Amino acid sequence: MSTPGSFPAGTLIPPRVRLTLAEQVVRAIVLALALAAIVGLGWLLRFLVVPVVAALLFTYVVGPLADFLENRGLSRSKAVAACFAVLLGGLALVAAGVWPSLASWLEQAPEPGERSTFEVQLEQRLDGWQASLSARYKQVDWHAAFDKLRHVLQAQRKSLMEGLPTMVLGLLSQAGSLVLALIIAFFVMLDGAAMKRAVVSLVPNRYFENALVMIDRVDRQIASYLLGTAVENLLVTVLVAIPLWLVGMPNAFLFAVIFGLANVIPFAGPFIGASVGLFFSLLDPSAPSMGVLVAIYVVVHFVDAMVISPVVMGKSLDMHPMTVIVGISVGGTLGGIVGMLVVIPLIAITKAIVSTLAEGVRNAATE
Amino acid sequence: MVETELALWKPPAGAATAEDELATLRAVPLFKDLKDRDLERLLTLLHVREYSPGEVVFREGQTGAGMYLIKSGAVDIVMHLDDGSEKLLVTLGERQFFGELALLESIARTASSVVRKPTVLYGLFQSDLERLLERDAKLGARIVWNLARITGIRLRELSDSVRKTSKTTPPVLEKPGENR
Repeated sequence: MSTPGSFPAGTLIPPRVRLTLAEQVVRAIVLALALAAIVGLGWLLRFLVVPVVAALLFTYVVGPLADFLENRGLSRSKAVAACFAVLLGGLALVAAGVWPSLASWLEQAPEPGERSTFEVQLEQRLDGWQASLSARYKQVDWHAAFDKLRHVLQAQRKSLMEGLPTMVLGLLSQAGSLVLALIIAFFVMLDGAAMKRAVVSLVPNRYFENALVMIDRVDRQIASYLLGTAVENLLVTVLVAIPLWLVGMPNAFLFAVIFGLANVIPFAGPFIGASVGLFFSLLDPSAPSMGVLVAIYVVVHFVDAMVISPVVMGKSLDMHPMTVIVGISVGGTLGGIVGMLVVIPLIAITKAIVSTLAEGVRNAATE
Repeated sequence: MVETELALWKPPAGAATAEDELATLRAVPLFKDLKDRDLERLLTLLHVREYSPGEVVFREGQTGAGMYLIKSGAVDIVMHLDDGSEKLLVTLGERQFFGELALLESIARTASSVVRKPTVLYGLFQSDLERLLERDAKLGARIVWNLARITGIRLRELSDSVRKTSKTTPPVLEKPGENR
């Protein structure tokens, strides 16, 4: 850094430090090594990625409620504790809503060698379809086609039953991550501001303002996207649950939650969410007709697109639809459903970082 | 600290005691009429930065993000003139502040600030003020109110200064038919 003695004669502001080529090379090497060290450390601590990301997601969604309560006179710790009480209460409500469906499925689980009620119903449906199609289109060998379908379903059932223990163990290990995520979220909500200041204090003076602006922009992008998405999809879940329940859809709340979760994915989400309920109605004779379900899903999607999304999300995404479509295609190809879920916030974060860096470069050019 | 009762992570503490820090804040017009409890809360938002002599805090033309308060040391405020020369506008000392307009809007800095001797600054930034308004609207509003008053006073001083200058400098009149 320049000292007053090094100012050119007659000037009051020291010129910008111009690095020689050798200094630039050394700096690039040091930066690359630091980056490699960070990536290496991240790899070693990769088991923490899921809980930390989940904790941050939770903090962004619930943090504004803690701010609101604090603004109403509660201390920060009491406000955060109240948020956790609301969260646990909400989770209990969801579990209470979904559990009866799961419990009835579990009760219907057959003994080894026996067939479940669902399988019997499915078999009856398949028989019905086969008979109806065979009567109408006699030139097609429906018997062979349905035999193949039954074989595929049998194979699916076998792999599901064999994979179930692994799946349950996986879910249990994720439950540990969830507990860890809640603990991390608690302390981030409590001390997040101090943590951020401690990180920013490590940044050299020259880059300090830019770093602060960048962190703030990224923070706001993520917060507005996640909060908007959470509120939008909560409303969509409620809007789907009511008509599904009214028309007598079995496990209406469960299918509404599935639709609400899938709706997070822009464009493709509503189709994915609706297809689960529609597929179920195809197999379960006690479900309402497919036409009724299609009407419900289409109306709710229309209300979401025309009213909820514009009001709740506003311009929080501020992205060209083309960017969203290409992003989702790439995310879906690389990471499936999870890729589709995370790609939009990632694009928003990248956009915030790039715009701040561009501003930093412009500032650096200021003499 | 008031921010949280269970703070596990504290930013690196400076050598100054809490009473020194509060005394610094009390003397700042921007924080006039704030109670000690509010000042303690404000302290949790401030970024403490140490500068060496000759270091530039910000340059004229850069996009501003917030204001600085001088805890100790001295800072020159320097402006580039149209003829390419530089003019020292003022040298600020302890408990004075600069760059406050950037708290209201991210606009280009109108002057550069250069540290004269070893200096410790407190930085208060737009994002921190916005967050304070979300978490403690009363305290945030009081600071914004003081900021508006100070900006008004400075605007009035600038108007007076322009009026005085225009009285001493004869206006340049256009000749009839001259193209501009």
